Amino acid sequence: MAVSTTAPSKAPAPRPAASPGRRRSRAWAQVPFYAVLLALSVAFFAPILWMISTSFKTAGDATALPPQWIPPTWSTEGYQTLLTDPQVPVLRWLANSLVAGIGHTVLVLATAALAAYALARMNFRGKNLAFGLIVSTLFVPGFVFLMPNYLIVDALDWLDSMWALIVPSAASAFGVFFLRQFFLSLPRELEEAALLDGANRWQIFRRVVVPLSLAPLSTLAVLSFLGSWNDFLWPLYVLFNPENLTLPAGLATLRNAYGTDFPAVMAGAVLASLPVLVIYAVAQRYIIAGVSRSGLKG
Amino acid sequence: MTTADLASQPVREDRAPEQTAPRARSARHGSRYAPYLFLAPFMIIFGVFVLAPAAYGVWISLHNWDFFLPSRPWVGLGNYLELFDPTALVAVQFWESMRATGLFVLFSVPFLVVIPLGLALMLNRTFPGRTFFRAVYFAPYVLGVSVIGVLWQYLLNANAGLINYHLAQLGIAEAIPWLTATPWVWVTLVGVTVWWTLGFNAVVYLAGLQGIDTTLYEAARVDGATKRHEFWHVTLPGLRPVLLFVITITILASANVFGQAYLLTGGAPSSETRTAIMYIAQTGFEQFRIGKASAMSYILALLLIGVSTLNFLLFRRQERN
Amino acid sequence: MTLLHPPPSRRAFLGLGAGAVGAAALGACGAPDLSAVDLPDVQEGYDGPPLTLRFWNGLTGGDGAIMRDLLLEFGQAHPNITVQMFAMPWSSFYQKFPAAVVSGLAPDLGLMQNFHVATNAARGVIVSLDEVADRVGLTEDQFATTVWQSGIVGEQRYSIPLDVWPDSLFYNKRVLADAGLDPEDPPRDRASYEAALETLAAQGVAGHWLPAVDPQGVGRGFDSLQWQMGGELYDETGSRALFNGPAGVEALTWQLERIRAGHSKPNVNGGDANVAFKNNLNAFLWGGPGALINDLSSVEDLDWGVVPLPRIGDRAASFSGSHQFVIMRQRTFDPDRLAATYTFLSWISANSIGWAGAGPVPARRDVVESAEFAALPAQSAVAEALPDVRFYPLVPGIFEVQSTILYPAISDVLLGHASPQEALDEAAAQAAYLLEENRQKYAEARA
Repeated sequence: MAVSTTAPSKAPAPRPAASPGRRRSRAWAQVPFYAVLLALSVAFFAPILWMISTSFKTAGDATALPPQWIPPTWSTEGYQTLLTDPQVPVLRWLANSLVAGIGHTVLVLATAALAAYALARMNFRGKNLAFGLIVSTLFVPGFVFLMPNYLIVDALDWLDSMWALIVPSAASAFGVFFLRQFFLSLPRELEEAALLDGANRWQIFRRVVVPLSLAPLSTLAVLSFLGSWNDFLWPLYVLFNPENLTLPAGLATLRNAYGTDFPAVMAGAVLASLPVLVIYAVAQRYIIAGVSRSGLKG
Repeated sequence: MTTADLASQPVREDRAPEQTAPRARSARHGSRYAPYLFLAPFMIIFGVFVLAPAAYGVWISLHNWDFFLPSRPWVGLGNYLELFDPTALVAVQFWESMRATGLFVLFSVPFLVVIPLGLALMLNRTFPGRTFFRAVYFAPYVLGVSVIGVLWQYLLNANAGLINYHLAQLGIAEAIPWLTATPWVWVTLVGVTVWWTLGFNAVVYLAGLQGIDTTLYEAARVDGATKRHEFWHVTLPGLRPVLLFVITITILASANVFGQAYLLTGGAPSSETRTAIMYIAQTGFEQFRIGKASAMSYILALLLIGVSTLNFLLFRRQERN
Repeated sequence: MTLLHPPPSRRAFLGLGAGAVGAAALGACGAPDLSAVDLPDVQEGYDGPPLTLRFWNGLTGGDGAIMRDLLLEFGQAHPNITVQMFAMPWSSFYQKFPAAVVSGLAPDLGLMQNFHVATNAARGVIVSLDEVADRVGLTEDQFATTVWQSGIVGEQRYSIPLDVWPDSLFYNKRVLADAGLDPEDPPRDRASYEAALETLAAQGVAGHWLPAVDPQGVGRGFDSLQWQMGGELYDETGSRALFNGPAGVEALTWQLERIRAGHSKPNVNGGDANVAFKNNLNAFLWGGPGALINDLSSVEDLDWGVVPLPRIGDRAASFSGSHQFVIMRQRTFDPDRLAATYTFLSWISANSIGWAGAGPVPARRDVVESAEFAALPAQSAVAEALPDVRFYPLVPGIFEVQSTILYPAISDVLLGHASPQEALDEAAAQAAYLLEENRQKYAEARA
């Protein structure tokens, strides 16, 4: 990694004024650096492009040898199959995924923000116990809860319903932990001023804390939505009617061992990816900020 | 929202709760329920879907709990003991699957710790297009595992896939059995996982790099340190907490591997890549032997908690030295 | 878009509260009631108010489309009954429907591969159909005997056969012709089969891609071969595995030789062989008519034919499966729904010629002997194998033994990781363990 420097970007190290010759040689020195970055970018993006390209091929072209990067004939056959075939109610799956994702996100935001605020700013008996319990589950792998949760969800009569997707996953400790760290970093002065004005805890939370916390709340919202949207193992087992599947779980059922209709499968993959890629393009900053913050304060 | 009504008593004097004797004061002013009301919605869900299942799972694992059988006799530690009985088929298969998970952790964690660090170091420079590249490398991470699965299965198909086609163009005539034979299945699972999740770790590192005190670099430079020296003596020590975090969550995430193996190799060849979670899910949800599956998941969880703790202690000891 | 689920009911919220309190007490109330049940006494010929039956199966391919057409046809004949079909991959189906029965979410009826019937009968998630067969008006003499018998577990009938799909030899006429072989006369015995493969290999064509990994079950070729060589997979009671006997070893060795001789590529995935066939890269494909006839017909310019499997051993035998209708155990049976179910079963059995279009051979003898069936050349060719079809023994849990123990062992050998005798011996020892465990478990379930 000879080309990389470890100079932190916050304070780009001022270089001595370079002579023109030196500058040119520095520009040349950048070439391998950019070459590596570009090569990596191609490697990272090519599979996604292939997925999109295949989704516009005919079934024959998709399995033709040699494979073609550009569809020989552009076709929306895959999308048509997918959107009209009664066996694969893709629009239902899309709607299910949206309902589950939004429901889950709203529930996480509401419950985690309230709990995190109590844990950050209030004093009460059992606080340390509650916080300890919550944090200790951060590192317990989720599969431990899989089987008993299935039975609990069954006992609640929630199998094969949106409730099974919305509620249990909202018990994750991450949101509480993440928001608590942020609330702790807020200056107390504003809350104190509100107290002097006679506001109660709820009013302070609503009018002072939430407006100050829009950035971390957005981050948590995006991360929660992505998590719910991409969840695979749990929906695979708690949903029964194909009509109730989410898009990722439905997508996995599209794969037939024989005669796989690749354009349709890839069209499904594109449909399943499109919302997250769009969200990512829009909220990239929030997602990356959330990931880095969760990492730093862990 | 009932929370609002019940928490509406003013808390005027409770201004710096952590500095003044808080408990007595808030109690006197009647807001002692407020914290519990704030906490309640989350704690109910947390109790029902985290605490209860944790306990319930232990209870199940102590029974011969078949989904369809009317009687679920108490077997004590029987399910656990059977998993340590080398003559029992379920033990053979379970430890085979633990081996698969272990191998995956062993193969994937070094790559997922080192490559993202290199990438983060590159991206930590200031140069035009930095945000763009960062976004590109992170992009696969937002895709779901089911998309990753169908996509790579198609790309890696041994005799009709794109990857082997391009390799053939490069002169590698023998079709590589990416999804069917060792060691290629491991290359596939690790490679796809690195492609998929590398951006996440890189972003965590980037944040860590930006948190390192710049004066340390300046001091090192004044001392005439080489880049390499700087890396070992400033960057790495500065990254220690981040490194601990990355290693810990990467081990946990890798030990949780399910979707990639389930969708890409289906456990093939034979049961070589049937991972622990996959076997637990098969035992519990496909063969409906829930008692046994629960016992397996606790053994795996204990092991992972042990590994995380060990990891943590190692780092702390190093810090002390 | 319609609302996906009923709006949040009070029950849901109450449920959450109750769950918080009672989760730990679940242990006491969890066991499902799956005891044998007497069905309400109803006849077929439902003419009550309109109702919708829920029908689950694993027909996710072209066969699903044909089943849907049949359902529409049925709906025209019986306007008061709508059959709503849910197709999911078979593996999901076998995972989901038993769980759905236990949770009270069961559909009315299902279609199941015969080798899963005994397992689910023992679990109590499907009901005995002894009387139902009478009500629906089906008798043994209407069916091929082996097929009719394959729905009977422990002297009770649990399923009604729809079809039978013996593995058959699909051949690519263009590839054969290009190699100078007669495209209209595919090899039918060991000598001619090996000779054809040799001719193809001499021209650089691996004629028979032998799947070493196959999500559909890599071992069906092996199953057929060892039966042809006089072997058996299990003893009659299903308590011991016999596949490691001389016939099994010989069968697997023959398969391995095909790879070593260059008759097959190594490391083939089931899907690859299929893709290669469609691209005229290999000549022979062993597989079921249900999966292949439709699939291959959909490829333009593909010139193919089908005959029963070649006789490699000293007798003819072909692995076969059969789709069979089952009625799911309900918490309470609604007489109307049951009568409608009988009506449907009776109709579809009589009209199963329509199903032949999907590829499999109908189980009804009169249908197979009909002129309409004779007009389907591929299906008729497949039906020649009917006297020689072999099924897995009707033992609870048998498919689990096949798929989790025998098939991985075969995979191991074909991938070159183990020798036939060694791998089969180890598998037989493991199978013994699982067979015994299953025997105990399912005996308890039935008790």
